[in-house]
Amino acid sequence: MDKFIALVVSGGVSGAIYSLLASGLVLTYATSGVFNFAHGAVAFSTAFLFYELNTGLGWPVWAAALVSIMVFAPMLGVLMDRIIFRSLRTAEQSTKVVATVGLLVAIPAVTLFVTETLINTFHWKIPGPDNIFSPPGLGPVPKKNWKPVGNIRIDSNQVIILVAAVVAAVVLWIVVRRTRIGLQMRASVERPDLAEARGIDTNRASAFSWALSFMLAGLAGVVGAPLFSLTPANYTVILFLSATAAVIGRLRSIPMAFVGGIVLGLAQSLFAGYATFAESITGFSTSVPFIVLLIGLIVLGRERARIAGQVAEVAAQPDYHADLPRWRRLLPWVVAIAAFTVYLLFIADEFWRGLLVKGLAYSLIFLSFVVVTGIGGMVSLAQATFVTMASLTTGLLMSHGWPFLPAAIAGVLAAAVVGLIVALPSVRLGGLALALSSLALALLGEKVLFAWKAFANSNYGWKVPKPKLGPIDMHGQRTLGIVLMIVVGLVVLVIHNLVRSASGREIAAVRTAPPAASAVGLSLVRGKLWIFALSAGVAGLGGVMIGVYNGSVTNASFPAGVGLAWLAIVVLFGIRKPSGAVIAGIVFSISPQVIGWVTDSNRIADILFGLGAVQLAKTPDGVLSNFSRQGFERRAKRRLRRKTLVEPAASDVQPADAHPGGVSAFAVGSDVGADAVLDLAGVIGGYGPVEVLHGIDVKIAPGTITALLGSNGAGKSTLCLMAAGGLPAASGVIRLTGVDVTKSLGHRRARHGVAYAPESRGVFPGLSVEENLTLVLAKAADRNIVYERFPVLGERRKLAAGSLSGGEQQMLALAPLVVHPPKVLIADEPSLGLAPRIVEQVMALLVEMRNHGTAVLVVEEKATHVLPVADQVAFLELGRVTWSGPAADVDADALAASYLHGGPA
Amino acid sequence: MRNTRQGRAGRLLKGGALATVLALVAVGCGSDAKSSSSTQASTAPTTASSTAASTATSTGDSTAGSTSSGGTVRGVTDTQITIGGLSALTSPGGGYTGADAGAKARFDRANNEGGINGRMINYIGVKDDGEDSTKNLDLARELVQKDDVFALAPVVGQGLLPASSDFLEESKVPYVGWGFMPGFCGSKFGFGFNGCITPPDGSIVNTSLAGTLVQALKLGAGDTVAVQGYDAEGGKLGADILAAGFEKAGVKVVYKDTSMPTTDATDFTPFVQKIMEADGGKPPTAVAMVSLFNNTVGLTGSLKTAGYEGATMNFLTYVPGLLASAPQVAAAIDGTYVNTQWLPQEFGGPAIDQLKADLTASGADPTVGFGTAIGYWSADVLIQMLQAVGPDLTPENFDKVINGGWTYEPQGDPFGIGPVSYPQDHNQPTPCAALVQVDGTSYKPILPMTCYEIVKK
Repeated sequence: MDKFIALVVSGGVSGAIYSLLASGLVLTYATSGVFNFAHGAVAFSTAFLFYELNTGLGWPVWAAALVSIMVFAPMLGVLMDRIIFRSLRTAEQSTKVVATVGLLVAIPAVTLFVTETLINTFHWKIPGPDNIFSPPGLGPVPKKNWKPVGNIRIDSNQVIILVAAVVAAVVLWIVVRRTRIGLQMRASVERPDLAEARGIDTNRASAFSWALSFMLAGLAGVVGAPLFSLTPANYTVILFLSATAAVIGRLRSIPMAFVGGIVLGLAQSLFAGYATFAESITGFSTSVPFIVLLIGLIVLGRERARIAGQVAEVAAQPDYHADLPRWRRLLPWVVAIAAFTVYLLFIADEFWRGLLVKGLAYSLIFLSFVVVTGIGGMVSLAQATFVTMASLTTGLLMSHGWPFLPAAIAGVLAAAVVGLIVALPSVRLGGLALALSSLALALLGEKVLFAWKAFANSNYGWKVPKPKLGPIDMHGQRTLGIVLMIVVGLVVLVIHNLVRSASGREIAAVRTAPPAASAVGLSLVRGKLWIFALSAGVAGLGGVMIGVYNGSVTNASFPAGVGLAWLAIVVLFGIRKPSGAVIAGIVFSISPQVIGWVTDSNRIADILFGLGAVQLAKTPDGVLSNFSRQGFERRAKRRLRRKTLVEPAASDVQPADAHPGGVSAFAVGSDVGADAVLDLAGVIGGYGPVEVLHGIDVKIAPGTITALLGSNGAGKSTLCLMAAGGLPAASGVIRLTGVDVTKSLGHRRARHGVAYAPESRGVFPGLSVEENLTLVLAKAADRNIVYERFPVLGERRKLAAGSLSGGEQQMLALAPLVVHPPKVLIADEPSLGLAPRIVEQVMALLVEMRNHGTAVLVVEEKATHVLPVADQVAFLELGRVTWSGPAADVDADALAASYLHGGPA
Repeated sequence: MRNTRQGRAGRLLKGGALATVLALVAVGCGSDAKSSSSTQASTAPTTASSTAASTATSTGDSTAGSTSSGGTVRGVTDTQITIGGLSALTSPGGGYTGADAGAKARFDRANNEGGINGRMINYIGVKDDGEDSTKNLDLARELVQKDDVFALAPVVGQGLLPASSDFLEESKVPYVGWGFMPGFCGSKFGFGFNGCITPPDGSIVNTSLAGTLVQALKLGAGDTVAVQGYDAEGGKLGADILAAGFEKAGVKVVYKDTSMPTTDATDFTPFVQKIMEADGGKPPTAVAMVSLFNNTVGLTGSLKTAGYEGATMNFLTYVPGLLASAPQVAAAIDGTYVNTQWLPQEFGGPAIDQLKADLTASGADPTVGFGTAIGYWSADVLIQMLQAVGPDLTPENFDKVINGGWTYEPQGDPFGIGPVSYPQDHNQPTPCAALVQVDGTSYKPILPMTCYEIVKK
């Protein structure tokens, strides 16, 4: 019993470090949807700075801690938010994973590069990064030991970690749940556009959460330092372990994540104390956290289908070559392949030929990412496991006398089977859960399966003699190169066919429009499993070919972590298309050599990873796609120029329509004059190259309701967005009470007094009713006014807004406006999907606000509800106002006509 | 020991290089599995690639093999021999800093003494693989195919997987280094300066692992020892061999555990609990550890905190400069014994004096760091080999002379590294070691390099 209690205490205290790291992970995941794989890297860099300041430069502990934890870490967080995370909020899960993986490599590399430069170039007398074992933390050196009761021992470092973890968890919980900035952070995550419309600076909220999270990472790094050697690798491993605690907290609950960390520490301690069987399976004790992680993901994932966060709906990648004829699309590839072949066979010396052949083998591995992530939309961090599985299997069989071909096929199949095993429990979970569980299985494979002597032959591995298939003798690198080119080509063909296959189309449907896909009854589990297995097989094939190139295979060639770096590289070049992966493979192979021409530092390659992540945040489809897009835009411009040269006379035909900067038959509210609160003049704009509004003039006076009618696709919502600041205008001017606000977008527009009720309900479904109101009405007294007016909201103030009925949600969205009527209200289809009785209430609210002096712009597709209350009516058709006038002048026939062919006569 | 992991991002998950390597090196761990290493390549069903005939074809289409048709020898002219190095000078966990300077110091002295058989050594320096096996193979190919080296020294780091060492062997490039990777075992051209440290034959017991402590503390019947390994194959084999060493010396092994996780931040309480009761409820006379660096420091410190008064010994914590720069480590391991594979500079004497003089003469820092010693002793062994081969320097001749029966003669008393013999030590380590004790912030010399024996389990 004594032993048990001692184990419980020591395990729990040790677990506090996981708790501390996990709470930071949960914070940023909950507030930005990004699971920060670089959290451990931040912890490392902060701890390293602390070490250099404290031990290196002799600063006192408090000063070093203040600068590293309270200044450096949060500033780094703000910087990373600005250049990377901010643009990732709406990105696909794979992009998020990759960007933070890039940082995980780059942040420590920059830290070490700067340190080495200071030492080598500037001759600073500070310790280098080598061999820093158990550096001092915040506590005394050497540590103090206590024996409070019985056999229980605890030391000062443990106490500090425990205290830091408790304090951090409590402070965090208060900040996120009980402060205004915390509420704003949560609102920004749920519906960033709506948050902006509510006047919340989502960028500021995001920066704040990253600063806080980095600060927590830094704290964990510094207090945990005495437990580890100060290397980036150690911190990353600890972070992976902490992910287990975060998952126990379902990536949402900071208190639960804290408990999760303690539980994990306990599990490890009790396991080491009692589970004697573990010793017989090499790697099992080490793998306990990974097993807990896996179980956690499967159990918690089942319960909620997916854990927290949104599965981003992915826009299908535009085809930038659609305007080119087929030969023109293929031409660059034919030329490139021909040039490559000639160089490979006739020009390259032996050394470079080897690099290119190896690059082709890597291309195969990288193509497997195109299958699983580019097409399947799943992030797999286990690709290195499949590579090792296939190559070891092939090597093992060949050493037992199998010929190459059957051994290789068996290897590829073995990889595919392992792929199925990885995918089976987690493919339903999707997104991040799949990524994490694949990583857990990869680490498990590495520690246990590949450590199995009979399979891997210790670290000696197996020989893979260069195969000879009939007349094809792969002893020669030229032959091997040609064989590889053919194999790569075949795999590319398979991938092209996969995209066009039934499975491929189903997967694409689910990725781009999940609700629609589920509506037509697409079940994807089988398709996804098949894609995962195929991807594992392709990766395995790459592994076999690298084995052929190397002449041997070992369990150490491709550790699990390498899969993360591979993913980063493939995404950098474009993961949606095979071409990106093929080029990535070759670049990956030759880049160390090329970088070697410039610098001796091994850090540089790592730093480039980070730049890659930054680049990625800007071009999520990869570098190649970026080139294509630029080409497309160039061609579009050229066409436009040609067109304007050819048809200059056309615009002279209708000079009457001409309006400076735009063309509009009618100006809405032209009689309003200088009194207009909202004044849109000659507004043109749309989405990217697609122009939706072709010149709109709208003036709205205070205390009036203007109804904007029009059919689907007329541009009504676009006009609303542009007026509310959710979309920039390409040209034209938008004024509010005479002030030009064209350039102030998002929350800044809101602060000018514009309220916006978007087409779907303007509420944050995950926040409670009370929290929804608090975002706009900071004072409790104001909220009470709402509750008095809408008792049903008062009754449900603690419920999540998403659980209210549609009408209640619309009330919740509009209610705060009644308390503080805005200057301008823009309501986009407020009656959509509501019962007639509720619609009446909504319209009554609009009238009430008009009576308070608000200028109301209501967009409706159906005129029935809005006409009785509107003062002015305008018809919008294909981006132009086709008629406008007083509501009284509109008659039903004219209205019907407006939907058929322009406005009323 | 199979913590040998590389690949650029493999570093993400890898522990400190030195820490893991030290653990790896500590004990001859090996495997009794049917090895496919190059020794047995000839038994492989398909054409073995280690034969001379396959050199050209397996390394490429053109002739960049050892000898070209014109009769010239790669890397050798009438006046000079080109030698390079291939090591992990840097790695995310710290590399073998100083390996380059150590080798250069030794080659410089050879040149100052008139070269080798009339030829000067053209030492082109160490290429740094950053512990990345993919880069290691690229660099090996570059050294052979572009730089035309005759031989390599030093070669050290986890990047040297069979892909690289097989290539070097096929290209007939002798390479000398710290032999803890498979490429130093069974390869005709791979020479560890203290042999093959991890032989595939797991029954080989290097008694120097236990021997120094047994000798220094005069352990014998009636004494007990606990052996703590770690949770990887290397940790298990290492613990087995260490335990066998103690048993051969008549010391009773009362505890052998290999379940300590290979991740840092381990909770040591469960292990301390078990060790403190290992000898029938009492603590054992000594505790020997084959573990990763932090676990070694942590367990040693925790044992002391728990009131353990016996001796502790490990293979990792002799790192020059460590104790002064890391007071918390020094405090945790104060009093512990460390078994080393080459003579620590604290012993002084002619070998160390010469080493320091050579470093100073070549303009390097005379402190004998960890990497410095590896670079220096690798070069020292290669120089004796080249002298033995004589003026007719070709890879074939090198093979004939060295693998025909050759022994490195240690210089001075106490000597720096033990005598290493080839071809014998292609398949086993040299059973020599020294022992120091941590004393505050310095290492106290206990036992100079002493050679024991290799026995079968």
